[in-house]
Amino acid sequence: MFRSPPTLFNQGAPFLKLLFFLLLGSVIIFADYKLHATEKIRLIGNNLLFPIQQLLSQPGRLSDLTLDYFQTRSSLKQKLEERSSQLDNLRLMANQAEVLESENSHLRKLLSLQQRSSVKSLAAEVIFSPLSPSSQRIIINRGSADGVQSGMPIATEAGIMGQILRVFENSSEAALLEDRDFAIPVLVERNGLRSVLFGVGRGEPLELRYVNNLADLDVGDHLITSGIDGTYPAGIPVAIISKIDRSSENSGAVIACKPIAQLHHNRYLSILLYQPTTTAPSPTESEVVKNRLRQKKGS
Amino acid sequence: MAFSVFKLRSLTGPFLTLFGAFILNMFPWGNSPWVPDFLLITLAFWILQAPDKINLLSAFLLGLLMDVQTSQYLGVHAIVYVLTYFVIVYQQRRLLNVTLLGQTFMMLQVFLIANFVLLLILWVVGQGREISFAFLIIPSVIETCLWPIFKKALSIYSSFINHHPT
Repeated sequence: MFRSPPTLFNQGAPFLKLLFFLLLGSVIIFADYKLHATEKIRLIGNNLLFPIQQLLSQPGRLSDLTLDYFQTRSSLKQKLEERSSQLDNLRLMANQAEVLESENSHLRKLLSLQQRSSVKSLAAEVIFSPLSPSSQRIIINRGSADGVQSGMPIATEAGIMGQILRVFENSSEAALLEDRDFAIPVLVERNGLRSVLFGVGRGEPLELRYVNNLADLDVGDHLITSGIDGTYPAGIPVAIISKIDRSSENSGAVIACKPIAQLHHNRYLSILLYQPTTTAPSPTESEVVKNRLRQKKGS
Repeated sequence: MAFSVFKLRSLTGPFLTLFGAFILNMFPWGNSPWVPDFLLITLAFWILQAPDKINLLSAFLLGLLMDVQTSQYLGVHAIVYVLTYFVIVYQQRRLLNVTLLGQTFMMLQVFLIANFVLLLILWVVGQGREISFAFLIIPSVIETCLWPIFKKALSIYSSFINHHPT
């Protein structure tokens, strides 16, 4: 029988193994980053982890419940009064809105415009936000089983919060407005000026880009979704302009905006089950173009 | 008989605590630099104290699991953990030959390397153009502060397991 040397001397820096695993890791990162080939592995992993994640989010919910329980009677009463007065106001507005909506749909019919599809929403709860130095994401407790698709916007009662990125069976991952390179087409509510709002990164204000230096914009202007890209329904509040820098060295004005919806302190939100209305096929994928290309090659 | 007991012990020993640390990581701490990676600390302990019970493959797989949990590109944490393994094994003699205080200071450097590699990979993948240094310094310091506590607790656990083989 062979006797292997004692482990103490058998140790040492395992260079070859290290290289192997570094290579393997790089290949997997590449497969995920460029080819999106590892979604299956992620799906399996997520299915394994999801029950634990949900279980672990219970203590927070429990503490919320106990806090609610110990609220004083007077504060509750005050709140109730506030709410009821709010409700009266809202009822008035709702009546008006109904009238306006019927009028609007009538006019649209008259103009034979495309009926705007009404947006259904689905309530969801934030399970946790994954720890990541580079992105601003949240995991919510609705997935493909509830009809969620990637690309759907998420919102609170105040305004747009972000967009679904990845869908699992019972949960999905969403990017917040603040996430770097998050883009959303908006228009200025006051004058209808169109632009695109970009996320810059954690804790940074959002940036309104591609705007002329002399554009008619003021601090405090509300930005709403324009609905141009077909991903977001039109007319939902997104952000308020908080600072405008029209210094001459930049070609355009640098405009900082603050999201209207609270991005980090919400437990509940709604997913807008919005089906994009404009689905133009990519030109290179259409059959007509392909046939033309084939003919060209043949001749 | 003795062999099977040894096998079983090697399975319950590190992996139970590693799993516990992973669960600890899964708590909804939120996304902030003040959240340390408990799994990294526990992994570092086992690599340092019992490198024969934990190999590169397990570090790699734990990293993959962590990537699923943090919804990072698969392989990011895997590489970080594998490199951490290497750094600790490379300095094992020196790390074991100092007092707890000295070891804690040396671990700061290990954790700094681990967090630096994490940020570096994210930067290479093009995700981290705006990554702040807070994500390098703060988690490393917190993990270093937690090191003596984790070391003590895991040592007690480890000696308990070794004296009471299941």
